[in-house]
Amino acid sequence: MGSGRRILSDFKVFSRGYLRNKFGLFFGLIFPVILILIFGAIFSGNSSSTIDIYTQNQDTGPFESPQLDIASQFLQALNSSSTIRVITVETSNFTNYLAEHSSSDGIIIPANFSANYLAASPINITVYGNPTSSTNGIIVGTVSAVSNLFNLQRFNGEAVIGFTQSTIGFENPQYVDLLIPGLIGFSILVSPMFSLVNISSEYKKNKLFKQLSLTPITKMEWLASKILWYIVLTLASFLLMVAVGVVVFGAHVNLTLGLLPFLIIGPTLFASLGMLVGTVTKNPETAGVIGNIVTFPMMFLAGTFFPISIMPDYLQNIAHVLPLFYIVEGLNNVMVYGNITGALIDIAIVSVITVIIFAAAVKLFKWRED
Amino acid sequence: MYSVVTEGLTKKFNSFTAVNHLSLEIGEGEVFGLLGPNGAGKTTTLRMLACLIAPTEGSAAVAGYDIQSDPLKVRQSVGILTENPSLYERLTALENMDFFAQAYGLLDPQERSRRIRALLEFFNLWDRRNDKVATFSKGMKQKLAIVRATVHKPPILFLDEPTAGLDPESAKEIRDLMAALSQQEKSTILLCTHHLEDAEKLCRRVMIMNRGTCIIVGSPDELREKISGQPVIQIGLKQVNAKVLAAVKANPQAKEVTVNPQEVALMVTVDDARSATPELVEEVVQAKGQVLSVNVLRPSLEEAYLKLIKEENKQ
Repeated sequence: MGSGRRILSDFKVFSRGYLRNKFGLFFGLIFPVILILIFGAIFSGNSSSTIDIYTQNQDTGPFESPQLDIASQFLQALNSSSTIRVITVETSNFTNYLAEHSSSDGIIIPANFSANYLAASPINITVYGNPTSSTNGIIVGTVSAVSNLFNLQRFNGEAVIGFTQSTIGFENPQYVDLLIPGLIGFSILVSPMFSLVNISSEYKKNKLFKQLSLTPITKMEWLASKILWYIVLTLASFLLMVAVGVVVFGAHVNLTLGLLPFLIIGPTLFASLGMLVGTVTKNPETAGVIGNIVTFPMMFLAGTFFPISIMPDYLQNIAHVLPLFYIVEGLNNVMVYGNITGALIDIAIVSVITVIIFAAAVKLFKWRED
Repeated sequence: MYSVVTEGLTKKFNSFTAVNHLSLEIGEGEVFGLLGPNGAGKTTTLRMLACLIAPTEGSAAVAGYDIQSDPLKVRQSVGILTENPSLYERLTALENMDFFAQAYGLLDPQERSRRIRALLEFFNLWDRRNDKVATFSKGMKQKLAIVRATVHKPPILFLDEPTAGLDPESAKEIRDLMAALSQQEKSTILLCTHHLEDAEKLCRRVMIMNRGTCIIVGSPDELREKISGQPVIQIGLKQVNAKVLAAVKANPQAKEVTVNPQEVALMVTVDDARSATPELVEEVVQAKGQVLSVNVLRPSLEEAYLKLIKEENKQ
């Protein structure tokens, strides 16, 4: 009886303290809700939008009658699946076309598709895709299902129509090669953001900013030194990630100078954003919670781990206002697609956002207190 | 030439006036004490002079620079000890001091190293120089904060409660450093404290503040005399008799004479203890009194301070 009362009394005091701790509240109650909202929205079958896929139809005829244009019927069947929407393109170099449009997914319907189908000769469709992307599974599954349907209708299931999977940007791609841009984006976001949120609110609480304000160091100089550190740290983290990928998994990493702007401007942006969150919040606990609320949705919605093409349209619209989206997209443009024009647009957008956030952080950050 | 001059310095926080039209002048090389109870406005005054907060009214110049128009010059001229040590806990003592010395503009590595070593040795912290500050006691952190405030040899020091919460030995070390800086480096020191012992031992002049205003300014001796009135000479005797009592009362310097039966002593109120004491002793001896002891009684600064604050609070 006495023991029960003691347990109850300790339960009360612990739960009271827990509920007053904003971190505990965030990770115990709010964070799971954020996760279910994000993942539910991303993967909810009802709300997923149709995946657009560039397709080159090399079987252009001529056909004696439209009924003999089997390739077009095959594409219609793909469209009617409601999982993908075929966008037919005419180009001499399909893989270049995909790269220029920053797309890893595409289908080539080979020449003589219809004639071979009617003659029961083997047909090989090429399906391009990024094996790390969940859109790839949907596309491959749809092509496979429609092929099976056509094989069943005319050949009793014999595999006359088959397909080969391929990837653009790498000759022998591995999972880890294509995962790296997203992981770099993740690293660019997390370290500067969380550290600066923590540092700026802790220094405020411990009056270290007051001490620094007594010296001739300016707040701009202080922030510049932090940004410099997180650029160095991001570069080190990038090199380490690449080294581990290459040494442990034999990854092929496309190292180009085009990466540098993202590795410099990215940490500048998120260090400034972290500083801004730490500055406008009153204490470290609130800063931590606000920092998490800003960071976690960005982590999952900006295309870091899942391509935004699998998300419903409203989430794709949200992704387009997240600065991390342009960093991840830019890294993919540089490392996977070699799409320099796309990367330049991304870095321009990121630069503008960075200037705005940096200026706001410097303006709102106060050494002095009144 | 004054190191610190304020004129009508005022700070209001909404409707609360923390410092109310404060005017003071502190000479070069002077150790000046600001005394007063909690909430008297001492720290707010210091924060305004250090350019940490802006005054609501009035003006002040530190080292000849206006605190509002030349805050950078003011900061370069002063060393400040705030109420919180605020050090980088994950760095060592040496790393902390090296950073702040550079931040204050002490760029020559050899000079910086010599200065830091001298100060850390003064406080017996040199052996702990490579330990992280997080492992230091409160007193050690306070000493490090004082080293930081003085590392760049500022001509003016603002020290807020430098001996608060320290053991007597550490408090003495800090007082010794302040005395050395004042005498050897001719530093001007503005000391905010409730430790009257610090003020009594170090300050040439003190100001007692209450509720944001100055109550009185002067040397510790002057304050004692002003507050307590006339000195009292206590003459301890083997035995008090009527002849001795009459002889003392007859002396024109004796304003009031009473007998203290517990101490077996005469308590004689005079105007000037220095001239009255030998005359009174002579009178007692001539009246065949046997003198055991003679003391001039003055209230301590603490008694004077408490009396003054009590009177102020009654008003």
